[in-house]
Amino acid sequence: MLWSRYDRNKGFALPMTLILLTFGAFVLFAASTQLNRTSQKMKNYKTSSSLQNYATNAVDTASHIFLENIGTYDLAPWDGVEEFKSHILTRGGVEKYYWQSFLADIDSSVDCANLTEAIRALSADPGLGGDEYTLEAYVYQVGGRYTIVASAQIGDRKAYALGLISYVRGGLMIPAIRMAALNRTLALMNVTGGHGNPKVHGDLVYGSAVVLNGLTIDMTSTSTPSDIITGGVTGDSLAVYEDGDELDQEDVNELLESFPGWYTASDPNISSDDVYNQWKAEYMELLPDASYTVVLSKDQTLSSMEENVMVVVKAPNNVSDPQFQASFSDEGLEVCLGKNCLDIPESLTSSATLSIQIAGDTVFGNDPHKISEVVGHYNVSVLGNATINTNIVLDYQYDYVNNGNGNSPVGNKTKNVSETIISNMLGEEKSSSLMLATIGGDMILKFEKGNSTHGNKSLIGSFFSWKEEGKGGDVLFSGLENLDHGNGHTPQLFLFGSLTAYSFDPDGDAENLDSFVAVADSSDSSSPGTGNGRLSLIGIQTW
Amino acid sequence: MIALAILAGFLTMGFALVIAHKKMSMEVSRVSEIEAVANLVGGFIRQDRRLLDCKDEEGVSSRLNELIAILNDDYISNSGFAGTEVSTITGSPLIDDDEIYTISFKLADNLARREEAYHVVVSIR
Repeated sequence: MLWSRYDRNKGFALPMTLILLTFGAFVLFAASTQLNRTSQKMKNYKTSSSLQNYATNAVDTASHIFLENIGTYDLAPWDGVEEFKSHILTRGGVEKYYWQSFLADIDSSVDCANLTEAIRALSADPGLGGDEYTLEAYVYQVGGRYTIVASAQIGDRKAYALGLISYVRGGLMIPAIRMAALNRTLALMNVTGGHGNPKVHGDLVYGSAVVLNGLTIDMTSTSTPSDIITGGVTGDSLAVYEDGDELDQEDVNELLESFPGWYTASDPNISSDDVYNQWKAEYMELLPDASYTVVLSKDQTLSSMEENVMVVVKAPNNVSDPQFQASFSDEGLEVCLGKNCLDIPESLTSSATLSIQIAGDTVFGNDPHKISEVVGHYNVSVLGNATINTNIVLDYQYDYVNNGNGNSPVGNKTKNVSETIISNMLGEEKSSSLMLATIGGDMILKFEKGNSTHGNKSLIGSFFSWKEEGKGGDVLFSGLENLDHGNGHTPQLFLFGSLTAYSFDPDGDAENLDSFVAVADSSDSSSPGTGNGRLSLIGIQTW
Repeated sequence: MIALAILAGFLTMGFALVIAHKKMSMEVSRVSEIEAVANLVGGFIRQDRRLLDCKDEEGVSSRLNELIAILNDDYISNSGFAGTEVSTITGSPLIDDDEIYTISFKLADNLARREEAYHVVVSIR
């Protein structure tokens, strides 16, 4: 009995061992295969990553070389473009259809500039792969833009990169409003009074905002912070009123968690003054170093200008505390001191930006209800207070502010209507630009009661109020207290572009301003540069 | 007896394989991280407005010195990659006009104790 049990045990050990051996062999095989596969995947991943990086670098390099030698290339079709388009189409997701549409104007019959030889001459550089990769680059002109296609290849692996070269105007890309202090609670826009006599109240910042020393918003429980500032805000603190009640910090934090990215806390280690001074320094860098002085002792006409030379308008030495008058019109800009005027014809500023500095307090326009049309490109700085006694409108946006029947399509509209019109305004081709700054003075926005406009002010351009040696830097309001709130439109400030100041309404006069709409120009064109700006690589996509 | 020896051999190889797999997994995660950081840093450098606004090689060099602090103090760690840092960034003109630079940076992986070099091309034209 014992013997037979021993036999059974011995017979069991062998198959068990074989089973374990087989199992172990499978485990070893599976694990080593997985390791090998993982190792191969990692290698492929690194290769793909390097290929994409070098293809991107090739776009950067080729675009630089192309822009340096633009207009000198012989054009010929490139057969490989179809392979490139097929390559994009093999990439998953709906995005490929957008790119297919974007590249619809390019095919193997379209001429392009071949920069392959130019970048291969530099391919020994580590930035272009140290001669290990085969590089190609081609540039197509599509309308007023250029599309650049580059590839990097090693073995049978290839990555493509696509760059877009377009006109950008140098200068500042800034939010709709930038303030160290905003003495105004931004309230949700609403309309009362019905169709017959609508009254628009509340504020809309279409774009982003920077309010360094605390922002207060007044919303409802059914609205979102983005209904007031669409692009988010940066600041050191945020207070929120909801249906009239102020939320405690816990509720504010909870609200913000629901809208990630809308609020960005500013760096507590950098003071608001330092940030403001940095903005100012960035602006000052845009002013030309060289200058040409015009003394307004007689009537003069500017016959020529250079973009890198600033025209400085001064009063004669015997005039103390001069008060200049400036007027924009479709004929150009006129700056007067008493009866003596400097005329700047529109023709001088149609393709280049005029930098002009007025050395003293200046009043722009002579009627808050009229529109000053800016035709051309201007960078105007005022050493003192600038009083805006008009509406300032760029020519290509004129019809949005005055439809020819005395009405403003954009003024005093509901949020939905405003957003639709704003969307159209942003899509307009930019033919003029304006930067208007005060240095050491305030920007005073003058309102006046009238029969039809009831205190709407429209400003289009980039506006700056810079503090200098403790003076100025504020945006102030004048005449708001006399405006009519009962009939027709409610008082509104409509700004398209940007407004930068140390403080907005420190005196509290804007309580009588029922509505403030500020729209960030999507591509702030109000800066020095040539008429169409300069060509530059504005984006790269890699596959 | 032979079967037991083979079994022991398999077990030994199995343990070695488990260790190798763990090491490889760690390696994979480190390589993934360093590649992710390389993309992040490369993108940051390409889009750094102040670098693109530099006027000459001296300006580029000065900005790169600032960038290394910005990247290591905040950007990389805030992006969730605390184990990796930029050890050096240098820039050299790609062509003679001093308006296009190859920016080379080395990423130091403090956990795996190794460095990888990356290069991006930036035009300040």
